[in-house]
Amino acid sequence: MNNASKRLPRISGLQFGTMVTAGYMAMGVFYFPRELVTSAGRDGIWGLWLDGLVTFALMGLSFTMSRMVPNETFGQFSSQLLSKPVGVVLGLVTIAYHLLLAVVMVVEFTSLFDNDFLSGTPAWVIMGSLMIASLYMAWFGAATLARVLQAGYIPMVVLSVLTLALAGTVIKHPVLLVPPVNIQLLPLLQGSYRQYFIFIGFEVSITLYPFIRNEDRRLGELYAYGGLASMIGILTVMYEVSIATFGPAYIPLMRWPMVTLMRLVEISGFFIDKWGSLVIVLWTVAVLGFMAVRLWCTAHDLAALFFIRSVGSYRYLLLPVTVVVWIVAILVPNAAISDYITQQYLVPIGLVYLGTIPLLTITVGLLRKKTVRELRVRTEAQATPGSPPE
Amino acid sequence: MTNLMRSVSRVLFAVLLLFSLSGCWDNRPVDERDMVFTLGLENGSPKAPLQMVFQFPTPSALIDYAAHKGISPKTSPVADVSGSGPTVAQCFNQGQAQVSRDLYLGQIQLVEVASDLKPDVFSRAVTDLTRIGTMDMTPFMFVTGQDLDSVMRAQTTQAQFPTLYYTSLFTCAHCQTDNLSIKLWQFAADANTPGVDPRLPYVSVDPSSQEIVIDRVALYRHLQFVTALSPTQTQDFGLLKGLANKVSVFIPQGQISLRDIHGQVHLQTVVANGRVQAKFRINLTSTLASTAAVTETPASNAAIASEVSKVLAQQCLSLLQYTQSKDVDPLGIGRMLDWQHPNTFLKFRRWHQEYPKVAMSVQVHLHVYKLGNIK
Repeated sequence: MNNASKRLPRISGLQFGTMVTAGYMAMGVFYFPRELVTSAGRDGIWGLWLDGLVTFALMGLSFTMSRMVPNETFGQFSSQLLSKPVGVVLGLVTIAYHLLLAVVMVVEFTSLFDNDFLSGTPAWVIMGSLMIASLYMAWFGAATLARVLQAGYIPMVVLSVLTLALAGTVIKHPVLLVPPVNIQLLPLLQGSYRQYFIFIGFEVSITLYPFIRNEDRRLGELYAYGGLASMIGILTVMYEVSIATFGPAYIPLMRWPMVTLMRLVEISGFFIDKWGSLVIVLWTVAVLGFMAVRLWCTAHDLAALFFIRSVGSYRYLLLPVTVVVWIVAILVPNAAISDYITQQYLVPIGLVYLGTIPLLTITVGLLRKKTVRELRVRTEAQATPGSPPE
Repeated sequence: MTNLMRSVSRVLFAVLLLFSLSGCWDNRPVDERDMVFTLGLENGSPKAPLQMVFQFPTPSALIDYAAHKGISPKTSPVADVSGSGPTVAQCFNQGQAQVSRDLYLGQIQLVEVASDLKPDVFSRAVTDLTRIGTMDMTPFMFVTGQDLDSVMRAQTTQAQFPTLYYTSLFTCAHCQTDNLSIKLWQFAADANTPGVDPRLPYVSVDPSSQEIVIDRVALYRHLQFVTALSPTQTQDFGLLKGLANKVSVFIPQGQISLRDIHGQVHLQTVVANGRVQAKFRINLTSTLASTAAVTETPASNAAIASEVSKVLAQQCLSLLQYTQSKDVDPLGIGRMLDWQHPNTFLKFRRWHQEYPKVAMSVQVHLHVYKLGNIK
């Protein structure tokens, strides 16, 4: 009864692609490419591309799973397809996972701002500002959030890419731009694994998928793939510029390699001399986007878990979720702890979650074709795509 | 919720957001801060091994600067305080205790280092400095063998503050014969990378004329100051490093003078029979300033280019051998070996023991691009 078709207006394919991309890109970009280089050295670039390939495959799996019952979020149809207990457990894991991702993101960004820009401001205030702003972004639902992201996120990404091109002027070692050929497999795999958190978060698609207009769903998938390809391209540029600037021996010693790189970008004579620092501040948009998408997903997953209509309860669920993230984030003392949480819990749980849940669901779906067909028929009959909300 | 309530709540929300995002906690007016432009690092006492000098513009000089007024010869435009301790934090505390304003490290433009600074103290200071988040890693660095305070305070007629003289020079790559500028991040990266020794521009002030001279490069082994190259050696160093902007050379035979020598360098490392070879290939262009014979035939120009190429190659080779005699690898031959032949580099436990054994070769291809105004 709480199906997505009743939460109109829906989003377009491009909006879906933007929201899915915003759902993972901000996570870990400040550390990037420290984990890769620490483990894999110069081979790190292969590790990044391996991560990208794995993400393409996992994204494909998650879309295949969503296509089984396209008008219901995973949280809604999992109980009916995989049995109630399994559905409840998966729902709880999904919610906890979104919350943990949000907490780590808040702690990371606050730590960066506290250290580099707002050293006199209490951490809880920075966190509070982040939470209020992301709550406001998520408050008006998927369509509004998607439009805000289109207006803020895409220009920010374009500006960052241009700034990265400027950062190319500080490259010291062009020889390091060429990917090495004598690869050492184990360190590469280790680096690839440790760095994977930069792609974790795209699973917002399993909640978002039913909100795409029916006729735009294939297009939405293509935009999400396109966003992923663009992000791999941008991360490749980030990796190349940073390693050719700092070298593979120095990056592991740096706290925020990408932030340091951007802060090196100066435009002498321009009215904003420290241009790179300004762009870092603009990355707040990416963080807010990440947070807002997380809050939105968590609220909908909570509604699905408690079998309540998210149309009416969405905002009442959004508020406590925001407060919980804010309070837990305050309890995490610094970014080193959040880094530990990421490496110890988020990356392994994320990889298992992203790999096994779609595989399990698709397999059960193949075995229970009749149930899947019933679910599809039941959810498709309820509303005409594009009609106003009830 | 009525429309009025909804409007009121939105306004309140906007106000809350405005206050929470405004950064009021960090708001310190400029006139309440002593903005440190230059940091000096030198040895302290055994109990407080690091001595730091914090130099900042005086309030009156800052006002004059903002009003585009000239330099007052009567009063110094800068003031400084110093502090000592085991780390930067303790030095800072002592410095802060001597001023009535907020001693602010977020605007540091320059870090000056005494040549006799002990390596362990230097290492800790660099690490500490790179951890000050409000300061990005872009200040320029240099080293001096003279009294640090006199070099920090050296006045010129070309800039309002001593710091501005140094930073405007180092910012302008083409204002130097060789681009010797080094920023904090570049120095820290070299200091932490195996197979390369860091370097810094070496600054001296003429005691009689008070003129600042920057035409030498200082070589370090790890963070131990080893030597400062002569101005001629520094020009050769610039050629080997690809930093040359407007180097000139004079060959007595034929009275050949070339200027504006600059170009690219390509370093390749080769391992043959277990022995490391470093091959420098330098492609240069230059302007012919004068010769004994007035000529401009292609053949004679090619002969001049060939002759000067040989001379420069020999000079560069001599410099490389000199660095080998000092066990200092400022050109990063070990680092390139690590990148091109990582397995070979890993075999060497101490690169400095291997560096003197490296077989060096230098090829210079000089192209006389312009002929100047001779006919």
